[in-house]
Amino acid sequence: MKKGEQILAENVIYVIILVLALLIMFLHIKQQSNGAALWEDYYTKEISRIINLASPGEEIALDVHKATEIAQKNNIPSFSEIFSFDNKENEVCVKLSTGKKTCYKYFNEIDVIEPGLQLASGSEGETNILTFKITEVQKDE
Amino acid sequence: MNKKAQLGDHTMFPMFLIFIIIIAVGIAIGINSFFGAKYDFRHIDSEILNNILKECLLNNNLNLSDAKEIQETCKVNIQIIQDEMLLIIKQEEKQVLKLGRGDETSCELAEKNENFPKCTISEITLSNKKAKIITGSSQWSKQKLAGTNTAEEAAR
Repeated sequence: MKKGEQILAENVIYVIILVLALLIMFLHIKQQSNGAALWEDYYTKEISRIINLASPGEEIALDVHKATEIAQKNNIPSFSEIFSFDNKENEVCVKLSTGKKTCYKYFNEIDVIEPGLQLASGSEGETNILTFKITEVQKDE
Repeated sequence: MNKKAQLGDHTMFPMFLIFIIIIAVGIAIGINSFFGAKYDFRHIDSEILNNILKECLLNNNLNLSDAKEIQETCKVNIQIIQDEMLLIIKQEEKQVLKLGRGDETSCELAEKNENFPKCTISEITLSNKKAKIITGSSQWSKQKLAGTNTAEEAAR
């Protein structure tokens, strides 16, 4: 190999490594900057607060538009996967990125039933709404 | 390029890699500390529990040392309080019930150590006796693998 070619090849390797490193850093920043982890934490705790303060018979409706936006950006295949309630463990879980979910426990002795997501029809000002009902504990049934 | 210069040029390659790694680690730490902030909910949990118990104990004539009676009447899950929170009930300065981890000293140190419970203290009068309700929460959200129920306690 000629000296000129050798120097060029070495520099090309440097540039390729640099571009790869920058690409990885960019992807990491992009992934983190939509704040999926923080929003998961926020939604689980706020929903648990509402459940702790709720009484049997109440129907809850929450604006969860931000959560659905983040989930969509992170390629969650179905909106029904975002919010889940485990009455056995007294736990609410939120999943805004693939592979993991964030969970938080509530101490109120009630059950959460019929969770559902009402999607906005598309008209301006409408948002996606999470709905669920609070009932007496039905764990033994 | 002479041999010495070539050798110098080659030794720059590990240095280049080290610089890239240092910069990448620096950016990762910065990003995580900026976007990975925690949402501290311990004081809210403990305030809600304290208010619920205060109302319940004032409106029902309960045996303060009976956790099961408190669970059934006040509709609070004793197991979760035991695992994630703190409940101390004192009557005339004498402890009659304690559930969960920690004590009053750990409540005082909650700002310095995030594993200690943040507490709420209230005093009520029941049958002319002063009762003190101390509730605390040391619960942090847990991360689980999606699709499983295997808890993997996050370090947050």
